Amino acid sequence: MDPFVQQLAALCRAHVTRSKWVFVPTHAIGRTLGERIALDGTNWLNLRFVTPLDVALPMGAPFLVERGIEPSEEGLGAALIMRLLLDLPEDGGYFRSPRSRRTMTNPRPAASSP
Amino acid sequence: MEQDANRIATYIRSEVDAKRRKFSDFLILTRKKHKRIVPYARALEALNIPIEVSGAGAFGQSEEVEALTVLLRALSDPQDPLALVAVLRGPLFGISDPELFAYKQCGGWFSIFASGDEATSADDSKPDSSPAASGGLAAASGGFPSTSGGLRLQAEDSDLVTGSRPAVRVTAALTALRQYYRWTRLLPAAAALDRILDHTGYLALAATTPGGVEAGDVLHAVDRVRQVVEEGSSLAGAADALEADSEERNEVESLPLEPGRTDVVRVMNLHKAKGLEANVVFLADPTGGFAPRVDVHIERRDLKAQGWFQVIRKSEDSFATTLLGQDADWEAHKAAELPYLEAEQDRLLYVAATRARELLVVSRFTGNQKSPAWGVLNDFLASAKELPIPTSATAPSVKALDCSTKAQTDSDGARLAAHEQVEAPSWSVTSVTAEAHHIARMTRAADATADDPTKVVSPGTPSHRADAGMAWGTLIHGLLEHAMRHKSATREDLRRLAMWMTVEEPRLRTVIDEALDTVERVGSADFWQVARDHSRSVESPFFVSESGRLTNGVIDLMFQGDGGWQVIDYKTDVALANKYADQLNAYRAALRKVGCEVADASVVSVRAQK
Repeated sequence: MDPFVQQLAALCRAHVTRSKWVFVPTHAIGRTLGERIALDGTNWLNLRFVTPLDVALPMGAPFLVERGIEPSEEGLGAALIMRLLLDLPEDGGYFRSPRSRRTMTNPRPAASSP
Repeated sequence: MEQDANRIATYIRSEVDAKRRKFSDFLILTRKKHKRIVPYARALEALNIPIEVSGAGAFGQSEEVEALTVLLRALSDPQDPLALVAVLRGPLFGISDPELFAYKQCGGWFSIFASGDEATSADDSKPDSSPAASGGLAAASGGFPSTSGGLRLQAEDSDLVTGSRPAVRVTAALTALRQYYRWTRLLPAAAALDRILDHTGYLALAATTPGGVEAGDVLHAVDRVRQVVEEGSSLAGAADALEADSEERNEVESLPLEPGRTDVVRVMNLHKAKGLEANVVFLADPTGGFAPRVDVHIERRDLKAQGWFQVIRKSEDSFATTLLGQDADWEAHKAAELPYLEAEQDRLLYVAATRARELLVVSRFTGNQKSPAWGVLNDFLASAKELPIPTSATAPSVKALDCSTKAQTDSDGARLAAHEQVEAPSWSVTSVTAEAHHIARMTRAADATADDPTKVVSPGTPSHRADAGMAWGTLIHGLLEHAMRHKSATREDLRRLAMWMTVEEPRLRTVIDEALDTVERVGSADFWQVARDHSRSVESPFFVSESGRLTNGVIDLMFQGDGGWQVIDYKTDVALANKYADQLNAYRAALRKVGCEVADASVVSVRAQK
């Protein structure tokens, strides 16, 4: 058995009813881990597979919604980032212009335009 | 080298036949990679000795991989005539320049789509499986390694079809390429490539090389394509990746065709042998040595690094090079670098000499040579005994494969049976609520109540109530969970939470006050106070297994009462009665399986809580 699954199974047997939180990158991975533990013979209770977003959202989202800030629609992310980038001031902004980037053929950045 | 290879193969065969050794006792090492291992693999295979060849050459140096790269390039951009001509001239089709010229003279043009709509067969997977229905003809495949005869041509291309044989061959190749192009558009890239390899027979051809080294490279290339495409890249990206691998010549090694076999003679170059051992090790290929050559010298002082190298032009048809330029002090730099390379060579020879557990055999060449393969070791072999090698060994006869119709039918049957066995699920997953709904549906065939859980708003009610359905249930469950977790949660906290929970279902916002009233009503119930005063858990997931059947679920509330664990399941619909008895029993059984005794399990109708 995978050592990680083995450790989780041991944890479930030792602390049957206590809440046990496991951070996972995706719910699919959490579900697979949960199935694996049960298939390997350990029935479990209160083992919670959570993503960082699962934890972060309830902490912050209600306060944002209360202020009228609601989640953007899915797929708007790229457009939103583009809008934010376009709103940046050209001079003295956060990002350097491509011209001033060092490259193999241009080891010295071009002098900034007047 | 052939003589050395034959003597080693004879010795191994005789030792194994005499049952003194097993094949896996032997390890054969060469100094160089490229083209030095093949004669040994061939000699061993001639005596039916199973071998595993690795490190026979860098993956990127494989001609087969190069041919695949060119093919991918042509299929990724069918408008690129240069890539197309490269494929036609390559080993997949083997069409010569005069043939290509003749095709052009016949009025042909170099495009995958050159012959217009091909007379495609009904089954795309078998483009060459049947002769053309009308007017077409089957072209001789010639250099094209078709697995089942020639390719069909279209009658419209009569000039080409009735033209010279070269033109016919080019047209047949273009027809095949057009089909490959379709496969790359219809199938995942690696699956298309697998089918192309199968159709061309190129993989089978590569497997006939000594040790199947080239086939190992081809399979490695297919895996590489699969990996690149899975990461979101295109066919052109896959071709780029293979080309990049070929530029890292010494970084990506060849893989054996069938890795993991145990009783085989291992054949590899010295660089692959680090960490490996064998009872008998041959340091073979005595003439395959080389003197260390300084290509670059780098000096590192403090935080600065400075390098020197020669600028040379390589000849395309020989090993000769032309010096174009070098640092004035190059000889000094070269002399400074040489000791490092010689020390590295000594380290490699140390590795070579320490791989054997019982017997180390060093092949020697008594004639003059500039760079003996096993260099300094030769000085210590004067007192070594020469290995007695039988004059000949006989390869055991190989039983011919049974290719009869009956054998093929049996084989197909066994394959189908194996597939069926694999396809049958060995375990299944269900949830407590899914089971409860299933049972409810079975017992109440058409009970379309106003509380259909799949609806957000129930149109069946006089006021088109929003406080029904799955979204409402989710809202109530979320609020109850929060209220039970946080004793100090106020109505405003819950309202804030409810606003967030209804972001996706804004119609529910009109009934948030009703939801908060509901939570407060539940909060005033007796069980609520008991739960708050005892050890408790909310929204507790579980997963239990029984005979390959997994059951999961989430228990809304469980708390440790006086006589054991109490289970509460909230219901937001109207009907109650005994319809949730099975669900509660499932919870009891699940908790019993994890080791919790359940004193009581009950359903709480949050509407009824007043």
